[in-house]
Amino acid sequence: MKTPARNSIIISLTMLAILFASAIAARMYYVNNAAPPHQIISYKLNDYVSLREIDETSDIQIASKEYALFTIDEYQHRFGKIDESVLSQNQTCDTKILVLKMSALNKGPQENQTNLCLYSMQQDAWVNGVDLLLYMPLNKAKNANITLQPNEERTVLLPYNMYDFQFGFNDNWIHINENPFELVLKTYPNKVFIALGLPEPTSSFSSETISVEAL
Amino acid sequence: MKRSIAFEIKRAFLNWTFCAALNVGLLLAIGHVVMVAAPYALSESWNLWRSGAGGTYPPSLYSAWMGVTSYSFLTITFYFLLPLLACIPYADSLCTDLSTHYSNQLICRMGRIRYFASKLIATSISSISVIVIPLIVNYIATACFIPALWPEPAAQIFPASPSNMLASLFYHAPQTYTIVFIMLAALYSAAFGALSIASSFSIHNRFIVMLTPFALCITAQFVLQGSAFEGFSPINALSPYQPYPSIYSVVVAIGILLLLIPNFITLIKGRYFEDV
Repeated sequence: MKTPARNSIIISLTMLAILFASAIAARMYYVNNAAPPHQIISYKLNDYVSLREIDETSDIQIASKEYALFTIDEYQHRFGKIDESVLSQNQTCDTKILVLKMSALNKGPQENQTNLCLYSMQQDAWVNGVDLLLYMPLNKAKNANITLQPNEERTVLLPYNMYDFQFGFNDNWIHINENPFELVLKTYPNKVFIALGLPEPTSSFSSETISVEAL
Repeated sequence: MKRSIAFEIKRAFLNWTFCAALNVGLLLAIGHVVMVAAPYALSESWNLWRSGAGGTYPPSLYSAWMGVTSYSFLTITFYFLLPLLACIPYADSLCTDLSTHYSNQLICRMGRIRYFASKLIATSISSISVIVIPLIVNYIATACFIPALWPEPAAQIFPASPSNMLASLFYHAPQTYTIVFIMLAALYSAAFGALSIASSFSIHNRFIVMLTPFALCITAQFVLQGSAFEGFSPINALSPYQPYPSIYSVVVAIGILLLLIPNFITLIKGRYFEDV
């Protein structure tokens, strides 16, 4: 039989536990409310995205035009031979190269520079950046920056490497063509990305490199 | 059966070894909050990162609680010591009971099966408690300092890579991922406790009994090191930051087998147990 003293101890401990839990809940609420809201802003293939989403001073708009996944052989057949030093890094594993055609348009009144190699390619948990060793010869460029005159539009090809070992025992590597990719422009405070959809067949990918058009 | 389980649970929880193991776990968990979560939330040196300046992703609960900080020695210590911590509270109790012949008295009162089944249940519960309580305390305490910002693969601050088991779950339902890994730690903790209990029939030194699962885990760690199956070593597989690739169903299956086989051995040996 419980004594009144024991009952009062149990009630006091329960009250303390409730108070403690309430304090923790209030603290978590405060911490999460103090962080700015995380919005997700998505664009589609061929949408022009103002880089003001990322850099408030930029007058440049970018658009993803098309993309496809190539094997090393397909890539070399389409875009020319890969340098031996670069190729040797990819020979120890099964490699695919995702090539994204991307345009940058200067809508400002002055000359502007941008770097399209800053954006990450993502599919589910996989993410990678542009391979600059492939980017340079692919676009006949000396560095990653593109200079644009007012109303000038340039198209570049952005190569992203994918390796089988990045997927471990997961079978996502086998079904890599069956899942959509995203080009992530920014992750915080808002996530800004271009939903690229499923990759196109390599045969329908037009292989022109840098082209300059005055609009 | 209820009375025998209650008796064994009382013995398992009201002893100094349980308090010691729980305190070690809590010390690591609270120490982690003090050394990782609190500085991220309060220190001036992390102010720039915390503010998200330049689009950098600030620290999130899902990148800062003890399970996912592979760079913290407290995290590595906790998961490395997990097989030992799980066995400290009560896993050597059968060995002690057998060597002191206390088991004879209890078997006379309870019956063989009830005694051994109660022992297994109490050991499992105490093993799970000393592992799960520090993890939950750390998770809640970290959540009091750092916001639960949704994990983004492109942010490059989150541990799950596509080669990791349940990586997709981590980015779509991080709370579920956390619960799954805490449950996985609970499954293996119960298995380690059961392993010690089963080994008590053939090993008569309580320290060796207590150290058996830890020794097996260390052996697995060294044997699998450098191979493609490194991720299946219990110490690696239980870490939510997953240093090496593995397969979830295989890891769970190994855990279930490690739990069931010692339980089965204990109950069979217990059924025909005769103290001489």
